[in-house]
Amino acid sequence: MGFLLRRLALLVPVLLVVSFLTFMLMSLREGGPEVNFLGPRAVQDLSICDDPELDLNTQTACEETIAIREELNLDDPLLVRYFSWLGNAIQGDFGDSVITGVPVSQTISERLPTSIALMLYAQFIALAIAIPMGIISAYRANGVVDKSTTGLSFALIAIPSFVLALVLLFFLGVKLDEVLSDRFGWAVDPFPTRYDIDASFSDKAAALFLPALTLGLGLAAVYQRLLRTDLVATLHEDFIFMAKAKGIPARRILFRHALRPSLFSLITVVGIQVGALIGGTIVVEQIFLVPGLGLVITQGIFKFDYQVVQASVLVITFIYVMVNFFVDILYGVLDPRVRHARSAR
Amino acid sequence: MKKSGVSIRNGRWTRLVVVLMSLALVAAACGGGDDDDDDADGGGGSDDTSQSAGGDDDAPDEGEPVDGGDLVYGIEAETDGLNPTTNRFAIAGVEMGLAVFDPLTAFDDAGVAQPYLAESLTPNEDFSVWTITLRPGITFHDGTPLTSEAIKVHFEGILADPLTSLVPKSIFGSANPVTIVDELTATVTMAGSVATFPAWLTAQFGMIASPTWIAASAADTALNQEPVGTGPFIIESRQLNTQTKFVKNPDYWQEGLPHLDSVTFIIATDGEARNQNMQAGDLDIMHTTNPEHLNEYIEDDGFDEYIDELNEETFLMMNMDKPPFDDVRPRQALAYGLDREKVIELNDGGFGTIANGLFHPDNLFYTPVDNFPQFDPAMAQSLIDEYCTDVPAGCTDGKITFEYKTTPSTDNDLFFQTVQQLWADYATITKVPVEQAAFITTAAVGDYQMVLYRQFGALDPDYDAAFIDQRSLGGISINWPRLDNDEIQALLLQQREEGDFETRKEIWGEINTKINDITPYIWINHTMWGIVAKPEVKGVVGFTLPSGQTTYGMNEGRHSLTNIWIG
Amino acid sequence: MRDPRADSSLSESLPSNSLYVESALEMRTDAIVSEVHGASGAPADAIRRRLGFGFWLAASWLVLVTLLAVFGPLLPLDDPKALVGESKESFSTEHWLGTDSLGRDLLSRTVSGARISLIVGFAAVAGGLIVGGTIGLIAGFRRGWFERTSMAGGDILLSFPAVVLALAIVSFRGRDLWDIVLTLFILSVAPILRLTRANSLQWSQREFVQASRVLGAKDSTILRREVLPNVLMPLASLALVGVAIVIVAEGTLAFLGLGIESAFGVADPVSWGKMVLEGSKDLETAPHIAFVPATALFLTVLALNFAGDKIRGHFDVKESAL
Repeated sequence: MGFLLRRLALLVPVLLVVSFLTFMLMSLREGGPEVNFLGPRAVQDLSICDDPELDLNTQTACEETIAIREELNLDDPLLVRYFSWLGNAIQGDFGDSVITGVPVSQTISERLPTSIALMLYAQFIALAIAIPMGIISAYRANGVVDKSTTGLSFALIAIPSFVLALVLLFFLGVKLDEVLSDRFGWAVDPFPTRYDIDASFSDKAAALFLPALTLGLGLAAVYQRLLRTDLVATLHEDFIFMAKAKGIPARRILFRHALRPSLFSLITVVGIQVGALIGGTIVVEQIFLVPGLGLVITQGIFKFDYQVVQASVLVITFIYVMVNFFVDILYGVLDPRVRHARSAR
Repeated sequence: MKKSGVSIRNGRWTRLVVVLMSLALVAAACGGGDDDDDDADGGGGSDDTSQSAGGDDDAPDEGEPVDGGDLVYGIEAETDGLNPTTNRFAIAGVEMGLAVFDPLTAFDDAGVAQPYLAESLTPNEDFSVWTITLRPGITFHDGTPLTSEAIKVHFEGILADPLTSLVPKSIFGSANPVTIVDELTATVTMAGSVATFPAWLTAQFGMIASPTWIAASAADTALNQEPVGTGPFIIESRQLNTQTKFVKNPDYWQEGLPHLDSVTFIIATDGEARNQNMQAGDLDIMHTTNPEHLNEYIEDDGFDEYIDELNEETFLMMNMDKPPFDDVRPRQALAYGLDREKVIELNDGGFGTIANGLFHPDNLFYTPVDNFPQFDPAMAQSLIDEYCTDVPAGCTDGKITFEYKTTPSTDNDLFFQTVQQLWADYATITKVPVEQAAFITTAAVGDYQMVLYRQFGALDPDYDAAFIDQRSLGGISINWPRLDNDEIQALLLQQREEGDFETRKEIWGEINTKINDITPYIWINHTMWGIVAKPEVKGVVGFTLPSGQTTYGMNEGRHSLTNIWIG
Repeated sequence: MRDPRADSSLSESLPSNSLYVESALEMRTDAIVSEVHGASGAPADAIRRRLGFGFWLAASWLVLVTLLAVFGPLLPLDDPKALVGESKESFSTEHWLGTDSLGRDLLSRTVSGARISLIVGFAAVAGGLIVGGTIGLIAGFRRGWFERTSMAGGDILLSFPAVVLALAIVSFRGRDLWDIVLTLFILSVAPILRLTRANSLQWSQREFVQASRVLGAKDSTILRREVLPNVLMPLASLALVGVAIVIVAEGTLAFLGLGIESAFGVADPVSWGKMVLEGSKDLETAPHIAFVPATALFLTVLALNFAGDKIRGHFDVKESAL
C-alpha cells in the first residue's frame, strides 16, 4: 500500500510540471506567443502603434497583435497566466480557437473518442495476433513457425509506421479493390478507408480496420516477442518440470501454468506501448484521414491553430500519465514477483 | 470540342460530349420557377457571340431524376467558416455555400448571369444603380422570411468586414449602398457604372444569409459554422477539417428540388488521399486540379468526369514593389528562362495546357495574345546580365537572388524544386514556407517576392478585375503583384461601363497584352479543374434556371448540388 | 523473470515511461540466460561468444551506409537535386535506382538522405549519451538528492508521449537540422539516463567498488576505472537501438511534413522520410520512388536493432560470467 501512496503522491507534481511545460510551448518561439499566430507580422514593440501616421499595413499588424495579446492575456505575469489557463483547462475550458472561433474543448471532445477507439482497436488486433503466435512459437520453440514468426516480428518492428501504412493502404485499400472488380467483377470494397462520423458502428469499425491493422501489426510483433521469450523462460522453471514429471498433459501445463504468469508482463507491455501507440496514431490518422486528435494536431500546426495543438498535447499527455500510473499500480498488484523483488532490495 | 467550359468524358461516350440535362425533364421538375429576366444581363454577353452549349451532341440521356440518396463529396479544402459576410469563401467555401445558400444570380450556359434567388435585377441607364427584386414567399431555414432587409444586411455586412470587403469594395459607392424600396425590392448604388454587377452575385457576394443569423453570429462567431440560408440543403453537422453534412430542405422554393436526402462534404486536403478515397469507392464525387489524376479517370471507364480548363490560370506571381522584381528585366528573364513544357511534364505528368494569358483559347473572352515571353535561355541570360550590370547590388555571382514563399505541401514543394533547378543559371532562390492561413495575408500585405498562385477563374473577368485594380493599392491589397498601370486601369473601368460583349472582349484582349508586357505573372498552365463522379451520380452539371436558361455547368470545381440525383 | 522494458529489441518502448527499468535490469541477466538457454537448449557458451553471421551482415550494411554518407559527395553521383533524367524512370544502368517524379537520380538522393539520417541519429543519441549517461552514472554512484532530482527530471520527460513531444517542440520551435537534433536529443536523454543509472547503481554496490572506496580511492577515479567500463557495453547496445529510433522519428516528422527545412545553411536537404512522402503520390504509377528510400530506412533500422540486440546478448553473458 505504501507503494501505491508513493506513486499517488508523485502523480500530482508530475502533472503540474508537465502542464507547465505544455503551457510554455507557446513561448518557445522567439518574440513571444503572438509570433505563433502572426509570424513575423507580430509587432514586438507596441509603442510604435501609438503613432497616428502609421501605414495601413503596420496598423493592421498592430491591431492583430493587440487582439491576440488580449485573447491570451499576455499582459498578465507568466504564473498568473499559467494558473488561470490550468484552472480553465481543468474545467474543460481551453478558450476559443483564434483561427476558427470554435471552442477548443469542443474540437477535442469530438475527436478524442475516435482516437481512443482506434487505439483500443489496434491493441485488440495486436493481442488477437500476438497471443496465439506467441504460444505457438514458444510451444514449439525453434520450430519452423517459431523461426519465421520471430523473424517476421523483428522485421515488423523495424518498419516505420508510415511505411507500413502506405503499404497497407496501397495494396489492401486500393489495389485489392481494383483486382476484385477487374478480375472477378466484384464491386465490393473489402477495406473501406473513409471514416464517416455519422456512420453506424459496424461501418466505423470497417473504416478503422486498416489504420488499426497498421498500428496493430507493429504492436503484435512486440507482444509476440515478449510472450514467446517469457513463455520459453517459464517453461524451463522448476515448477514446470515438476508438473511434467507428475504427468500433467503438455497443453494443460502451457495454458494453466505457463501462460498465466506471462500474461501479467504482457498487460504491462500493453500499457507501456500506449506511448508508442499514440505516436503511431498521429501518423496513421494523417495517412488514412481518420478524424481523431492526431489529425487535429498535425492540421493545427499547419493552420497556426496553436491553442488547439497545445490543448491536445495537454490532454494526450494527461491521459498518457494516467495510463502509466494505472499500469504501474496494476503491475505492482498483479505480479507478486515484482513486489517481492522490490522489497528484497 | 469543349464548349461553355464543361465537357463530360464518360466511359461509354469516349468522345467529348457536352453534358446537358434533358431539358424537358428538368423543366417539369422545377415548374415552380417564375420566369422573366427583364434586361437582367447587363453586360454578360449577347446570344450571337456565346457558343451554344449544344444539347444536340450526344448528350447522354440521364433519365428521369429520382429522389433520395446520400452524396459523399470529397472537397479540396476546409473553409474557416460559412458566413458569406465575414468569412472568405475560396472554392471549397463556395461549393459548400451553394448547398446552404442560393446566390442572387447564376450563370447560364452562355456565361450570362441570370436572376436566381432574385426575381429580377434591373439597372438604371448608366448601370450605376441596380434594383434587385426578390422572389416572394421564400423563407430561410430558421423561418425568417426573405425580404429586402436581408439584402441590406448582406451587403453592409460584407462591406463592414475589413477582409471580405477587399474584393467587392471597388464596385460599391459606399459602405451602406442598399436602399430598401419595399418588402421585396431594394436598390444598390454602385461606384460609377458597373454593368457587370449580376456576374458579381453568382458566388459568395450573392449568397444571401438569414439576417437573424448574421446578427447572432456577430455576437458569437462560433455560429459562423452553422450557416442559415434559403438553399436546397440545411446544415446538419459540421466538424472542422473533417466533414460537414447537409440534409434536404423540405420546404425548398424550387419545387421538386433538391433530389438528394443529404450531402456530406469530406475535407481531403491531400489530393493523393482524396484520389485514393475516390478510387476505393469511398467518395461519390470529388473535385480535383491534378491533371495526372484526371487523366487516369478519363482512361478509366468506371467514372464520369466533368472538366473545366477554360477559366482559371496557374501562374507564378512577382511582387513589383520588391527588388529585383521592381525591374521588368528580371521578371521577363525568368519568363524567358522557364521551360514550361518541362514544368508541366514533371509536375502534371504532361497533362496541362500551357497558358499565355488570362484566357484559355476556348474561353468566351479569348482574343489571341502573342506577346508572352516564350522559352529562350539566351534571351533570359542576356536580360539577367543586363540587369546585373545596371544593378550590381541586386546580383550575386551574376544571378539574381530572391525568396519564394509557398504553403507546405508536397506538390508545392516539388513544383518549387522544379523551377529552382530550371532557373539555376539565372537565380538563387530560397524557399520560405508560409503556413496556410498566413499565405493570403502575406500576399495581401505584399510581404513576398514570388509565389505560386491560382486565379482569374471567374466566368466574367470583371469579377477578377479587383486583382489588378490600381485603387486597391496601398497597405493591404488584393492587387497582389502591385500592378500599378494607368492604361490598364482606364481599360478596366471602360469595360465595366460597357454593355456590349464584343467591345468588352476586345478591351480584355488589350488588358491581357499590357499585362504580358509588364510580366507580373509567369503563366504556367490553364488550371484543369475536374469533377469526378461515380456513374450513378447524375445531374452534376446543368439544369434549368427559373428564368428558363440552362445553368453553366462547372466553373473552377464549383457547381450546384441542387439538381444532383443518384440513379 | 524480466521486465519487458529492459528488452532493447522492443524498440518502441525506449521512450516510454519505464519506472521498472531499474528492478528489471537487476534481473535482466537471468532473463537473458534463460532466454538463450530456453530458446536453444544447447550449451550456452558457444552461442554466447559468437555474434553470428547476421550480426556481421548488419554491421556491414551499417558500415556501407556510413561510408556512402561520408564519402557520397566524392562519388561520381548526380547532384541529388538536379533534374537529370526523365520523370519516374525505372531501374537502369544510367540511374541504378531509377528517378523520381522530377527526374532526379534516386541513388544519389538516397545516399544524400543517408547523411541526414545518420547525422540526426548519431548526433541526438551522442548528446543523449553525454548528458544522460553522465548524469545517470553519477546518480547511480552518488545517490542521494542528485539521484532523486535527476530521476524526477527523467520521469517528467518520459511523461510526454515521444512523438507528441517531438511534434510540439518542432512546431513551436523551428525546423533547422539542429532544432530537430535538439528535439530528438531531449527525447533520448531520459531513457539513457535511466539505464545508465540502473547499471551504475548495480556496479557501485559490487564488493570491488566498495573495497576501492574503503581504500580511499577518489570517487572520480572509481567511476572512471571501475564503474564506467562496465556500464559502457549495455549502453552501447541501447545507443544503437536509440539511433534506430531517432532515425525513424526524423523520418516520421519528415513524412508528416514537419521535417528538416535546412541543414548547414542549405535549404531542403534530402531526407528519407521526405523522399517517401514525395514518392507516396506516385505509388500507383512508380512505386519504386517511395519504396527505394523506405527500403534504405527499413534496412538501416533493422541492422541497428539487430546489432544492438546481438551486442547486448553478447556482453550480458560475459557480464554474468564475472
